[in-house]
Amino acid sequence: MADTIYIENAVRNHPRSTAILQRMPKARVINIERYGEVFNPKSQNFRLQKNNPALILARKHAGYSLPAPDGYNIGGHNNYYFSHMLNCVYDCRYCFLQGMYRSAHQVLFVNYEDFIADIEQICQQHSDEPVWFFSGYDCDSLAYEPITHFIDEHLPVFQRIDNAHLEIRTKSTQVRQLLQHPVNQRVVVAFSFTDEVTHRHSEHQVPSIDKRLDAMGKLAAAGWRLGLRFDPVVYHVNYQAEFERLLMRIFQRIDAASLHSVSLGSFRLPKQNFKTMHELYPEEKIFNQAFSRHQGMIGYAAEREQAMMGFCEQALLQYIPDSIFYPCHW
Amino acid sequence: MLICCCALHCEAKPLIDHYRLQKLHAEHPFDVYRQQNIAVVVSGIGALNMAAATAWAAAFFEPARACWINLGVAGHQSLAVGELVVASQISQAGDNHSIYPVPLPKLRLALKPVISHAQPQSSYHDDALCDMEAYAFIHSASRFAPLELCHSLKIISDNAQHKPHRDKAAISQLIHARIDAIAGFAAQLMDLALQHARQKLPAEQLQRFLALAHFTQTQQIQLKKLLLGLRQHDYSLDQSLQSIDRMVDSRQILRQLEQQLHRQSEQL
Ligand code: SF4
Repeated sequence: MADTIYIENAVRNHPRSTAILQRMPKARVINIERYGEVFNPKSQNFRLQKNNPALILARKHAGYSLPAPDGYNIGGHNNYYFSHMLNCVYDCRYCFLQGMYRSAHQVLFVNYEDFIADIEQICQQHSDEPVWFFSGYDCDSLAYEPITHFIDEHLPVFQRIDNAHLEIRTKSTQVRQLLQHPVNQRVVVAFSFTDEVTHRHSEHQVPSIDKRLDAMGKLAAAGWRLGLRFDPVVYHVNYQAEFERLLMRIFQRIDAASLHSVSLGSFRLPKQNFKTMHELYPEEKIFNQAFSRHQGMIGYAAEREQAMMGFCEQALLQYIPDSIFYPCHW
Repeated sequence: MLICCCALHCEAKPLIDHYRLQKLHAEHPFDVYRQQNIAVVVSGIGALNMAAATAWAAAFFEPARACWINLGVAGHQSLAVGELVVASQISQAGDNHSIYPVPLPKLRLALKPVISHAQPQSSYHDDALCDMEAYAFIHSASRFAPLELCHSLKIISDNAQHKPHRDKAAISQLIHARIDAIAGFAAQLMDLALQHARQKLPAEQLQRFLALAHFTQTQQIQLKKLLLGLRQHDYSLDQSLQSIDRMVDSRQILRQLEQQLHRQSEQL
């Protein structure tokens, strides 16, 4: 939990800011004019700042939901993503956010009402088609939920708009608030996993695989539709055995019938993000393997990538039908 | 290393006494006191002096491994004389630009904004401290070190009840009374600087490899990256050095090190 909160003067008296300050009574509060003053300066070091990131409460002024990049879909044609937060409480070494922002502080946009109005408008534009919204693109959707109540406030909106679909992507176990809502078949709670070796090596502060499976089990028992996200799969000498073991652990606990979708992708990053992250963590093994460059992206060489994807796909299809499988090649 | 920048000798004196610093007698544009990895530079009053002293210190010491503290007195409307405050936001009077130092974890000291003025002030802001050098210091220091490693600490010397004064002994006494808290803060900051320094390759390590062959500028950058990756333990570069013992061709050395790094990195 952050011990410092920066707050834009424009949202100082916003009811959500007041509520959040009440939920974090011990935090020191620093008033600011615009969040960029704290978040954007050049001379910051993401790695040092990750020792003690602050929370920044701000207003988002535009671009609430944006069209999702090509290939970012789980079966829908109209795909949008939104980020009520920038940055994450967890610290996954492969996370592209490290290469995206100079600051490790977490920005929370408190004007949810504008996000909601935008979602309503987009759904009206596509009134006779389903529209998918992906949350958790620039953050983890649920990890900060006890403080933000973002999903809690958005679920009724997705309940009310017939063509609105939502993917909540998370590595968190914060499902208590979700379980208090009526189940919505148009909402998918998608949990991301890497194998145990990668998890221990790279996913700092992320709840254990078992704890995430507990959370998934509770949601499945309540009737929520679930997703599995194996993206990124990180190469290491034992990745095959570890991936199989991971699948075994998951499907011992989770009935494949409760799954809406499963996606798979190998570790890859935009070139500039990779460069920044490698400079921040030059000793990091997952950045020091053999890579190749392809269309502005850095990833494993084609032969390795194909072998990994092929192996993982085969292993997965022993548990799930092809119809819910979404591989992401690069 | 810790570099402290103070405007006045009476502000620097408690640090000099606490850390038992020795004056450097060689001729320098500013008075400098040092003991091993702690140094104090006395800039003189005002923004220009402070900016110049900070930039000079960055050139004189080894800035890549340094953390920076500006210590001095400041005025505040209502805070008690003698209170120690960490700057949370630093601006120059009449300018909208602010710099936000990054608070240290578990910090128990008060955090307040500081506004630096060109002249001594006779009136106070609502909540901000008034000083003359903090903005120049942080603006300059954060060009040489990450913002996380640059801080300004202020001791309240005057408020609405107690008018500003120039009693040097009294100023030293105010700072001296808070020296343990200041030293605690400095120790925490130095730990962070050490963590940052570990991300860099010591020049002598690089030198051992550069001595083996002729490396072009581009190859030197490649070599540095490889060594940073291979340096998982203190002794691991010795092993790498042994493995390329008899090689004299830079391309061959780089290839060998790269293969080693890839192999090593596939075992998570
Ligand atoms: S949980 Fe997701 S958003 Fe958070 S650090 Fe890990 S990869 Fe990044």
